[in-house]
Amino acid sequence: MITLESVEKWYKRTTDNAVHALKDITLHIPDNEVICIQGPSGSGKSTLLSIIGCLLAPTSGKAIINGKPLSRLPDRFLTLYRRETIGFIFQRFHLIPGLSVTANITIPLLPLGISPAERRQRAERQMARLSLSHRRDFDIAHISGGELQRTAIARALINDPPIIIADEPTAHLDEQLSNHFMSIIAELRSAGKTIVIASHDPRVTDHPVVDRCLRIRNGRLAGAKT
Amino acid sequence: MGGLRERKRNMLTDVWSIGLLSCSAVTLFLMLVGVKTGWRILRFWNVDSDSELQIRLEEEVYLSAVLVEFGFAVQLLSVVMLVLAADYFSTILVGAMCAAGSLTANGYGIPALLVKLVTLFLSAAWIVCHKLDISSEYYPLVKRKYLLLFGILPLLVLDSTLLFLYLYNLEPDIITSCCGVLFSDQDSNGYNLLNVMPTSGLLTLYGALVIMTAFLTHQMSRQVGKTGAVAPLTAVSALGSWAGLYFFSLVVITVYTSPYVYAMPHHRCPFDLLKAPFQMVGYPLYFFLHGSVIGGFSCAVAALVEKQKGLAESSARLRRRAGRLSLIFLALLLLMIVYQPLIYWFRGGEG
Amino acid sequence: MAFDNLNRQINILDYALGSLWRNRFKNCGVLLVFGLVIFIIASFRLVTSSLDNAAEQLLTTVPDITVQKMTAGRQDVLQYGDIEKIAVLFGIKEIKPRIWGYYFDEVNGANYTVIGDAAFHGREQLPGLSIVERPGERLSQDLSPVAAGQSVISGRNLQGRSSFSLFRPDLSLKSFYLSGVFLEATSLVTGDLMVMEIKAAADLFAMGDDELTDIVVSVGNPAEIETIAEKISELIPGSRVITKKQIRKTYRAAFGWRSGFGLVCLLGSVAAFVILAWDKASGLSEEQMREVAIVKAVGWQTADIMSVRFWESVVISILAFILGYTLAWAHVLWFDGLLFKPILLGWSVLNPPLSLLPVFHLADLLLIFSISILPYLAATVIPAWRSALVRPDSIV
Repeated sequence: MITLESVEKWYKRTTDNAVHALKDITLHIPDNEVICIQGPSGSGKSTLLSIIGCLLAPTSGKAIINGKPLSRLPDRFLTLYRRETIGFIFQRFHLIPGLSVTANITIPLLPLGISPAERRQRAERQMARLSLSHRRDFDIAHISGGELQRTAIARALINDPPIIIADEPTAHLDEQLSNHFMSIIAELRSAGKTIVIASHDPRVTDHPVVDRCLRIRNGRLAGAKT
Repeated sequence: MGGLRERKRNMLTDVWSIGLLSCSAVTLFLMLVGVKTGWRILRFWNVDSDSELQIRLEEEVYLSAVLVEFGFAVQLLSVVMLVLAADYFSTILVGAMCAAGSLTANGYGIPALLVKLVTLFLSAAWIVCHKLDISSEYYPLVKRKYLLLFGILPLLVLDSTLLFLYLYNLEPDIITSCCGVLFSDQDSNGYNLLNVMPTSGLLTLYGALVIMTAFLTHQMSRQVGKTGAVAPLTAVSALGSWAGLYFFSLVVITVYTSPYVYAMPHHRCPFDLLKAPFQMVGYPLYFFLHGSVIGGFSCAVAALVEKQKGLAESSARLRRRAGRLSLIFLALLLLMIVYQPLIYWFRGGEG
Repeated sequence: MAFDNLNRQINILDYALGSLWRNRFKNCGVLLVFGLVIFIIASFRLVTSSLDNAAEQLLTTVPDITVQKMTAGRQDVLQYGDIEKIAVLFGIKEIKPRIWGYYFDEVNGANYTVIGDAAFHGREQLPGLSIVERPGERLSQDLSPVAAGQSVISGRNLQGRSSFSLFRPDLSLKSFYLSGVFLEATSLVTGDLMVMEIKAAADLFAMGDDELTDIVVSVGNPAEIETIAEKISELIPGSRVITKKQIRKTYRAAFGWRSGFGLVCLLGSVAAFVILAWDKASGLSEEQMREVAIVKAVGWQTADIMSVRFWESVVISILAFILGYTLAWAHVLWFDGLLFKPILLGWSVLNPPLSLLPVFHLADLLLIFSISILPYLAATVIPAWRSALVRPDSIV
């Protein structure tokens, strides 16, 4: 479950370039819900995603992610928590060129001291689930757009996190791949994950798997649409 | 072969000197940067803030930790190199038979070595504090550990200065002492450093110190009392006890063990143990000595800070692990100290 | 927990190797320059230590104690009677008279070292010096036997003939025949050396029958050399008594000085390299910064990224060391250390044909490490940290 209460986020607060990115955000996302966050560029959507995704701590207010209060957690602890709790799927996938599909998928496991054998095993499980096994040793520069997307998803799932965050996942995908992505989201939802998607693509916002949509504008949340 | 007049020459350009001074320069550089970040942290640190400055300072904590750890490793190397260099210099200095003679060729050698050892232990203590500090969300030790760093820096400057003066004042044609004179049991010429007491008395005292230290460490390394914390008095006593044990171990190794290793009753030298003809037995011996003392210090430091916010669990864990490790190393050290004399006695030596 | 940490480091090393390979062109540049710096330092050290070894070879020929006479600060002659004075000392194994001087050859401008040895009569082997007998015969009893070094033979054109003459101080000729030749392997010691009978040397230098330049003493117990040397100096007023140990220390001091001086000059190259390393480590491409942001976003900490950079530096250091040291070894073994030999060998008119043999010393390893690898690693710490400062939320 994700709970934000009166969360505020400031950047460069003590300078002349202070930015008040989030204003009094209160939000409650129960377990196993799929919610969509819509908002134009500069609305604070990325900041909100970053706080939910444990990439940033709020300036003030309460943020409890999966039972852990993050309100003022030092960066190091945020990272430690993030690696176990959050799987992030980035807008442009952000895979590392020069590495194979397997190596990209297992990147989150390296600093945990997990052995190569176990890493491979876990990667195989995700690749089997996402039909990527035949591409395991391919450099990501030599795979298709859909395979890139599935590789990014596999990486997000490698630690079996309870919360998945996807940032504009269909922005650079065609109809077929977008539909495929949403079918994977439905599967993850069935598997008990809580999913937060930032998107203004109707293929996402109008999809039946989405429980509700929230709008953010100028750092504030508008009413929910279900 | 022409004239053989020995000319005074400056040893600073000797290869060993350059290597040692290079190590010193690197350590000083690393620590100066560490102190600079420490200064910023002490001024601006606010763990409740989410400002970019605070995030930056949290990152700088990592940097200073890496710098101190690196500095510690270099200092360790530097101690070994100083002893090896002194051994080499003994082939150039008149009258010096080994490293002991070289190090006493002027008044700066032994102090340089001692200051290096002190900085080594303080750096180890800093690293322990740091590991504990970052285990808590509240960074409870952050200010204290950087104050400690500020205390280490002048010692490093002193170390570099003493090292430079030692090397600068080495003159190949000055007669120096040798270990046979320095560490001998005869009081003939006032150069004896270790003629503090008869060997039997020394061993008795040492044994008592070992027992006390082991007891205190054992007390610290187990769960104590309802709170699980160790009494500060126990921890402080352990610190003192380990420091005393370190000093007396060096004395016992020099005065008691080394003659048996060399099979020469008047050859008492703590440095020749590192040489190949004696199976380099000095390396494991000093490894166990320093390992046990650092483990003991770590255990005591962990016990002292255990009540700080957020440190209960990690301090207790470190206290138990470090305590046990130090006792294992202590046992191995004692085994090595008595091994050669025991072999000698079993085989039926003199008397 | 320690095991997990070890696994973590192995994983990170694995990643670091991949990262190095992905940026191989940039890293190659640093590797080559670093390898060159290590090559220079290692060559210098290998040449020095092989010369040191050669000097040790020389020292096998040096007696335990050499006694000379000094008058007004200059070397003077001893008498045979001084030998009897020394002989009374306990612990002496052997005492021999010796004449040792220098002969200036006007024909080729060379200075030969002449040793008149009481034990030499033409066919004897001398301690530490291997002599190969020359075939051919002694043409006349007036010719004194001589064992000579390679430089003497080439200087006097003795390859095809046995007899030659040298001038006495009164310009009369003294004739010799070549009874033996010193092996080329001992050239450093024997290149310019002529060993002859002691009477022949006295004749050549027009010294009196009772006169000598040195008395050489062998001592039974090496531990007593210094004590006996002290007693000799008391027995013979005005004498200069030199022990083998003192000669060794002087050679060490001379080589150590030259080597150290050379290294000080080379430190400039090390400094330049360290600055280059800092610069390279600081210049992260956009691609690399993005990669750091990605790994941080998926759960890597700053410490993990610094570990990657550390391992990258260590791998480069190891490869550079292997490259530099191997090339240095080849430089000394196959090319005779031609870059540095002139600096270390000095002013000798006769350059002996000396083959250098590189010798591995752990001490050299430590020195190369402390002078080059350590500064390199230190220079990359701060840039490594800075590279890890990229915010993970920057890619959201």
